[in-house]
Amino acid sequence: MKVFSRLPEIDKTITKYGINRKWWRFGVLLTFLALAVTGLFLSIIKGAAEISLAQIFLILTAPDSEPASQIIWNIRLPRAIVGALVGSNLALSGAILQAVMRNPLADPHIIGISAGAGLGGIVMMILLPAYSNLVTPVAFVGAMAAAVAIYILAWKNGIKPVRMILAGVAVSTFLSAGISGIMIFYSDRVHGALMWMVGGLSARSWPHVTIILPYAVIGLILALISAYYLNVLQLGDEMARGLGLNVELARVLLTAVAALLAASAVSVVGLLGFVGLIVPHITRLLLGTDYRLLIPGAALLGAAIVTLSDTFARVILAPVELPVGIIMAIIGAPFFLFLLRRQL
Amino acid sequence: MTAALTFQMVSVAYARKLIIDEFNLTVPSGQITAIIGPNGCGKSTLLKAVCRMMPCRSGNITLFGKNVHCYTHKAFARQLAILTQSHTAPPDLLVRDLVALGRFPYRSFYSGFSGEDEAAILEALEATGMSGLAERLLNTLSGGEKQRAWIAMALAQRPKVLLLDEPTTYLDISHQLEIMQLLRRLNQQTGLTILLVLHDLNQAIRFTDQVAVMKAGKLVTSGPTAKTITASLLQQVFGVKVETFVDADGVTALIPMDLCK
Repeated sequence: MKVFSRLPEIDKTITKYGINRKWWRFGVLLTFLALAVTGLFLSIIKGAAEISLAQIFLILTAPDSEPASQIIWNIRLPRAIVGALVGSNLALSGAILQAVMRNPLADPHIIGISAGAGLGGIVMMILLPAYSNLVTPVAFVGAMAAAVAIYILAWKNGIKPVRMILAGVAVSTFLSAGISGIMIFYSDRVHGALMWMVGGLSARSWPHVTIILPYAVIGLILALISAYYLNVLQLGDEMARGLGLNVELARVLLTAVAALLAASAVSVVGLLGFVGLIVPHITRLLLGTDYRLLIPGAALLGAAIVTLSDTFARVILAPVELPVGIIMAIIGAPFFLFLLRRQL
Repeated sequence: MTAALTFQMVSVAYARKLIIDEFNLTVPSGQITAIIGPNGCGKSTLLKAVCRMMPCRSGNITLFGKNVHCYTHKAFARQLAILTQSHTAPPDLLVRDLVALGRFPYRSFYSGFSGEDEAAILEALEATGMSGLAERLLNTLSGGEKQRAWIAMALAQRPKVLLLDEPTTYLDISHQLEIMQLLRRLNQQTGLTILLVLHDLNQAIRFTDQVAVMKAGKLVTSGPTAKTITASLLQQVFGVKVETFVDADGVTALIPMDLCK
């Protein structure tokens, strides 16, 4: 399967105009960082309640028990942090899966990890609403179970990327059928679950931060360590093996890292699509295919895109709040088509 | 003369089909050995079996006297490098970054880039004449330059044995000569043992010391290249009538004339 058909646009530009590659990449990374900071910042200052910048600054430095302080500290700030971590996790998960599966379309949605989390979450929300505090852990278990199932189905004298992606699509379809079935049988209880199905940051607060934070930190460290292995894997299985990489083991471990990242994100915000697919692609277009840059780049851009989209989703039809998943899909689908025409 | 690689009664099967059948060969250290034979006779599979990409159904392959399966992945890659027939790389990879990946078997996930890594990379670039192209994108190189970049990556592994699968196949004649001369030079200067699959018999005669002739998964014959490749052998193995003559350098040259009916 041909993963790289063309030089990234940006390298053509760099070559054409003789721009210094190092400075370009440094600049892009810095821009991503600025975007992520802006996203976090906007999530905190924008919202239904009008709170002035000066007041926000005061509240952030010295919290009190006023309602404005409650809004900032217990609603907007944790929501912004959850958004950033979720974006970064999904983007990293997609970036890793694309190299591991040697397929530009790989992302946690397509290979069924998200559907596993989805089924777990739906079962808890609709069938066992009394245990609603267990939605996140059960969704997490669902995602990891889906990842294991994909492995078992794809295993035949080792793991082949194509077999893995096909097994993933099958698992995803199977689990989605389960989700639809439950939603049809219990259509009277579907409302709360709907928001979760499209992925939303509404009412995400500190408990959610504490759930995702450890996985985000561990996942990011593991992803940064993985970068060198992912670079070797990009040379193809045979060359990677020739260089002394245990390809099968690497594939299992890297997918586990990707599953961990995606599972923690999906279990907190629901089935937020397209981040895992589009963010690695944008990052690759701008920074190139070197995973040592792609990993930090994707993490920053993922955080930026989700926080910015969420702010947009809250503000555009205020006081009505759209789930961020809808905004992501509206941006994501055209972008996906654009990629299909330009890059693949 | 010590043996770099030995094959003892090696059989390799893909699914039910036997591709290599009780193959025996000793690849001497410090020499260039060519494997020749018709398409589909198992030449590439043989290289893959050495690199443990294909399991042996029976028999043993040893590298410096030790069964290849007794090496760890990285220890093996420090002894032996392979260049497969076709290779993909990200289009925006710099030559120096590709060569740097050749240091993978020397690194663990917690160790940084050492001075020795740096020295090995520079040496590999130098040896392949790629120093001036180190900062170029792989995709902007010519076919011959690209092949040299990949060879540089293999050399950065500092291997004692280098395996190449048809290194000249997609190249024009000048680049073919360039690659073969490069391999000869590497062999003479550093004593690198080279085992390569070749299609061009004249190149084999001119540039290799030993030859192993395969047909249908079996070894037909092996020995010093110039003595071993004869008109009658080629008729037997390829079914082709060839004329031979001795060129100005005293090297035998072959011209295929007709298929044997």
